Formats: sequence, structure tokens, C-alpha cells
Amino acid sequence: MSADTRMSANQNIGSPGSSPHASPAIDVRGMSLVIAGRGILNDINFILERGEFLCICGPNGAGKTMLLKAMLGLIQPTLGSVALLGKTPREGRKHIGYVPQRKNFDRMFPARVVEVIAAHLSGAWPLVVSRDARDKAAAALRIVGGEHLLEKELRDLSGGELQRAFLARALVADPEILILDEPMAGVDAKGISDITSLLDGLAKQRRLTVVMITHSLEVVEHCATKVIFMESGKIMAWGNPVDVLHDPRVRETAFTGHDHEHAITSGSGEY
Amino acid sequence: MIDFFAEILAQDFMVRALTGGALVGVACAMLGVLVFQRGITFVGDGLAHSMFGAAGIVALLNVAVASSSDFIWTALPLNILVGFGMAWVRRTGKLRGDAAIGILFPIMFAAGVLCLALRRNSGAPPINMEALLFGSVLGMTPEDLVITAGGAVVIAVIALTWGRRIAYAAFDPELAAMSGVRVALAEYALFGLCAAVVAFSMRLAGVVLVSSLLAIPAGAASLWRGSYGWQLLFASVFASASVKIGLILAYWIDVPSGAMIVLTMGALFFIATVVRAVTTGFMVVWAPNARR
Repeated sequence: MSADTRMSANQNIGSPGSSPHASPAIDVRGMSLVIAGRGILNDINFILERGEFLCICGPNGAGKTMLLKAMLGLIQPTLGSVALLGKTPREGRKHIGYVPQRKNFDRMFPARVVEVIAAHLSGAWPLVVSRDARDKAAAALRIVGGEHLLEKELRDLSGGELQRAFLARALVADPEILILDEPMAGVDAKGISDITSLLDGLAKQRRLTVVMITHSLEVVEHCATKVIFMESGKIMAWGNPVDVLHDPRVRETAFTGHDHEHAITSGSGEY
Repeated sequence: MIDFFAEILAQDFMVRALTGGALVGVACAMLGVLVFQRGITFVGDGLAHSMFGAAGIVALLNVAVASSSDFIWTALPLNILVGFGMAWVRRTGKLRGDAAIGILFPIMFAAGVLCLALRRNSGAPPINMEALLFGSVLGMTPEDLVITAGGAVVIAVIALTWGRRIAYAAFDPELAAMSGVRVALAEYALFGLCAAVVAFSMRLAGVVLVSSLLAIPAGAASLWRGSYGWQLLFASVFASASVKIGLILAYWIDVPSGAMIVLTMGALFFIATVVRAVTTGFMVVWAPNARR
């Protein structure tokens, strides 16, 4: 591992005052998480400026998904703090579009795509979808190439269609930060290429801050402006993609297999 | 036939029963859809038996039980506390949700039996156990109607408004939390509302039968692939029709009304299943996950 990308867990990536904005997009300080006596995250520190595209990589069980959930306030960290756009996670959530990796929704719930998107806009499940919400849902689906999904029931969608529907849901409220947990999971090769191009384009056109967990080297090389490499609940390397990916250990361990850590940690959210 | 309905509508107690029963049925159906989607249908049974225990405790303490409606006001807070307790156990993961209900269910029921026996031994006026167990909607006084109908309307309005947040949390708690729903509050509210609707429904169906008011209309609505709003509407119409048909049949045959209402719901559910099966194919209804 090269000297400029190697870092100890208690080392800050940036200083709090270094941002040209009043507050950075994401500011994580001293975050640790212990569940049932097991250390999941260990003294995580980083600051991400607005407009950056951060890819979080690492082997299975590294703590990537739990880091996202702790950042979003879906899980309370044991130690440390998180600020999203200078606000607490609960306050900052309204400016965030989130696409979870595993879609844990109730498959028997009578949910159509338009209702899922409208529910995000209003914060409550719609009895009847308003014209305004329907128009916004249709526009968001158009962005992701899924306008034909508007009236479909979620339980009838394929993996790739689900990802598009959830991506549209994440984009509909015009977020400042987009957080995606393995958005390519269950998507075919063409879908991966489409979503990668879409995310890259969105990030550049809208100056979105994007945080994405991925095992795809191609996606990191194509989209990322920053990369975090995690292992055993710690940040082992951080920096520009070229620097971090230069390390053969990162290339060997971060971009093979699929992410199963969610299976261990799902259901442990504290909503 | 017209004479028969005219005779029914000429009876004040039947008009009160039909009005109060239909409103309570609709409130139960709306909450039932939420409970059904949350996958905790057993909660209705648990809270009904807990209500029996709560009624027994207040009867023993001799706290204002001059009329049957008094049971609602005195036992309701205790039952809501039990509901919150069930929600707390579910959320903290101390026990599986249905295990908590399974433990509280017989304990509260036994406490009710014990308290009513102790009250009888003390020489206090006896409580009509049969009415508590199976309901006594035909004995509804005008005061009972006001309380029952008022409670049912309030619960139905909450289900239609704030209940939409509970529905979102039932769909996916993580996504709901990201959209601003306070999921923990929604969970406690659902259990609290269930405890309340069970209390207001005791007159209609009693401890033993009240859970059917939550489960059967929601189950019938789920047979069709409609939106959540459509399911609420279907379950409400189903419950209202079942209660009215059941009450009229009970009057006609001269049998207990609570049992007749539940049997009517069961019959309509069966008819709905057959209609659904005929229109979409038997396999879709009875073996939705089977490989075809």
C-alpha cells in the first residue's frame, strides 16, 4: 500500500475548516459501532466535500453497509458523530436520496412504483396519488429510463427494474446527496452500463454528491473522484482512485465476489 | 320481506346495533388492513384477551362499572398500556413479537377470570361474562352508541390520515424512516390503536370473536390486487355489509349476534375467495407461490 493512501484509523481525511462551503456534504468523526460485543466499525473519520463521487470498496464483512446506515442515522453509532450537509442525520435525510442494496420491502404489500415514489414525497403512503406526485414520479422514472414502470406493482418487477424504480424514488425529491448501496446488484451487464453512465451524468450535471458501495472496478474507474477502501471495520485507504487502486491488495480484495454483509446486519436498524 | 325490514327499523335497539356495529366494523377493518400488512394479525386476539383481563381488574377494583360502557373507559388505558408493552418487546427484540403476545394473552385472560371471581366472592353485583366473551350489541343503550360510534369514527379518521405513515412503515421501515416517518412512534401507535379498537368493539363481538373483525375483512381485501386505498375501501364495505347482514340474520333466527356476524364474515370471505379463484385461476389464490 502506498504511503499517501495508507492511513491509520484515527487519522482525519480532511480538516473541518478546509471546505470552501459552509459545511461539507458528509463529516464523519470518530465513529465506532459495536453490536452484541462485536466491533463493526472502528474509529471512522472522513470528510467528503460537495460534488464528490465517493466509492466505498472492501471485502465482505468490512462494515460498508453499516457505515452507510450509521451515516444516515438508521443505526446509532456507539461513538462519534455524523453531519450531513452540516445537519444531524435525521435533519439531513430530507436532502438525501437513498437506494438500499437489499430491497427488504414487504412483497405482499399492494405497492405500485408510482405509490412508492409518491410516498417518499409526502412521507406517508398515498390513498390516492395526486396529479402533481404522479407527474414528478413520471419525470424521475424518465431520468432513469423507466417511464414504463410507473403503474407496475413492485412484486412484478425484475431486479434491474426494481433498481431503476428505487433510483427514481431516490432522485424524485431533488436530493443534494445520493447514497447507493450496491446499486448494480441483480442487474445485467447492459443495466450496469446504463446505471453507471446515468450516475456519472447525474453527478456531473447536477453537482450531486454521490456515495456508493460497489464491488465493480469498472464503476470505480469510470465514476469515482474519491475511494475509501475498508477492511474489518476500518478505513485502510482513502484518496483518488488512481492512488488507491494502485495498491494490488485493494484490487484483489475489494473487487471480487458479492457483498453478503447485509445478510448479517439486515434488520438491525433503529428507525 | 319489506314488512320484515320495516319491523327491524322500527326497533330502536336494532337501529342502534346496526349503526354502532357498522361503524365499529369499518374502524376494525381499516386497522385490520394495517395489522394485516404489518403481519401481526395475532395482535387482535392478544389485545382482546388482554381487554378481558383489564375489564376484570377494573371490575374487581369496583371502578365505575355501573354500565357496560364504563368498562371501555376504565379498561381502555390499561389495554393500551399492554399494547405499548407488546410493541416495546417487539422493538427491543427481547422476544419474538408473537411470543410476547402468546405469553401476555393467557396471563391477562386468567387475571380477568380471577378478578371477576374475586369480585363475585366479595358480594358485588355480578358481571355478565357472556357479554364480555361474545358481545351484546343488541343491548346497546343510546349512551353506548354515542361512545362506541364516537370511538370508531375517531379511530377510522386516524387510520385514514396518520395511519398512512404506519402503512409506509409496514411496507419498509428503512425507506419510511428515510422519508421522515418516525417508525418507532408508528409501531407504538399501531399497537395503541389496536388496543383501542378492540375495546370499542367488545360490545359488538366480545373477547373471543373480536379479532375476526380485524382479520377477515383485511384478508378478503388482500385477495385482490388493488392499491392500499382500494384495500381500505373494500375491507370497510365488506365489514359494514357483514355486520348488517349478520345482525339481521341473528334477529331473524334469534341467535347470538356476535357469532352470527363472524359467521357471515366467514361466509362472505369464502364467497370472495371462490369469486377470486374463478376470475383469476385457482392456483393464484390457493397456491400463489407454487411453480406453474
